[in-house]
Amino acid sequence: MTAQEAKRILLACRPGGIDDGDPEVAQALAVARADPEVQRWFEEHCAFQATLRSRLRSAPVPAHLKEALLARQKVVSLPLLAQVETRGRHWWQSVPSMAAAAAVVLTVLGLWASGFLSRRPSPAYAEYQGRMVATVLREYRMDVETPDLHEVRRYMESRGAPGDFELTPGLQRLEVAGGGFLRWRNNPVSMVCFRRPDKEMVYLFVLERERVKDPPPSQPQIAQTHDLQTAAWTSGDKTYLLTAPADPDFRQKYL
Amino acid sequence: MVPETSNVQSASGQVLSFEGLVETHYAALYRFAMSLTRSESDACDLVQETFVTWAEKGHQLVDPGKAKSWLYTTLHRLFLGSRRRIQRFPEVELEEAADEFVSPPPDMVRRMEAAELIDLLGQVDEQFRTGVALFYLEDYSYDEIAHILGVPLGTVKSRIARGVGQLKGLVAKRLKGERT
Repeated sequence: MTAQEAKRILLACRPGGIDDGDPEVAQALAVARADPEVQRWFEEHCAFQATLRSRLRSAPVPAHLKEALLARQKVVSLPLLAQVETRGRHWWQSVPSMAAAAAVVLTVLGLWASGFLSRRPSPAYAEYQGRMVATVLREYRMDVETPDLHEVRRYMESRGAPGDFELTPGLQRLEVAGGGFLRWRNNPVSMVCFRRPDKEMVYLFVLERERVKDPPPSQPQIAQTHDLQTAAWTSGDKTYLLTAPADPDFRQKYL
Repeated sequence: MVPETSNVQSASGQVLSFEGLVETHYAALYRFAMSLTRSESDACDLVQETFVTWAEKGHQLVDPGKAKSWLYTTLHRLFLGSRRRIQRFPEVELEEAADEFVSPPPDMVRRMEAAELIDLLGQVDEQFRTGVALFYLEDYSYDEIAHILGVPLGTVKSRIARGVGQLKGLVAKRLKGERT
């Protein structure tokens, strides 16, 4: 083995003996021990490798990532609310007793805390939900900034994303801030942004129902993360995902 | 009760929880993904998809001790799948690496931003890059890298050597650029 051949093999040899057991590396190391120039080169190479390895491992990780990953664990389903749905009407057009709803929420949350009802949504939708939550948690951009909902609709339609979406009564009360065009698994997604009076943002993601294999039911499924709440539901040919800062009055405010 | 799809229990009773796996591996997986994609959002998406895949299929893993390499293998496959769908980053044409045997001074490398070094790693030819990333970021053995990438051992060693050579050249070039 020549000195050049030994160097080429030792390029893939890390300090600390990790690779010393490999026969080719062992042979190249023997060349280095016998050749002061190769030995000096290898020592410099090891110093470089150790520094590079240490620096690469200190590369920053986005602060939101862990929370976004864990968010999909924190789903609370409210299946009992399905009982108040009125056939043939949108879920928000039925008027359940707020007290009863609150009692159900508290009951379900209690069960969640004790571990009885915890479940995650089925995979494909869960992935979509996780991705959209991550979009909210990290930087996003609005392609159109306008208080005019019609302008947002027109923009989305021009991009091939859903523009004929429906707004819940709660969202209709909020100021429209704009919208953004997103893609999930190459499917167009409309992101509509709303601004609360306190300037906090609320986001509605709209996806064609057929794009996801397991769309959520017509009754909104409420999910809780550390500081975000989401509601997911299907209406007509679209699925909706709403995200907003966690709020005890989430349902009354937005749905 | 933890959803069964997010946990793996070994014969000895060891349970790998979703949260535990995220806690232990998400940062390193993100750095690996960054080296592949050179994009923060794409890297985050890859890590997300990897853990979603775990939630779907992780329970099929027979040996919980292999969870880590399963995550890396899955992330790599997802990356390859996404590359087939969209070629977002044009490959950087690398000059013949005349500097591959020249080791940049460690004190200068130490002063470089870690994110900048990840970006340079991302400029290494794709066929060499993945092996080099696993080589530096996780201290995987040649055998383990070969298993994750699904290529023969000899190919892995050759790719790592060429990739490390390219990376050294890129770091040297960047440092040279800073000095001029």
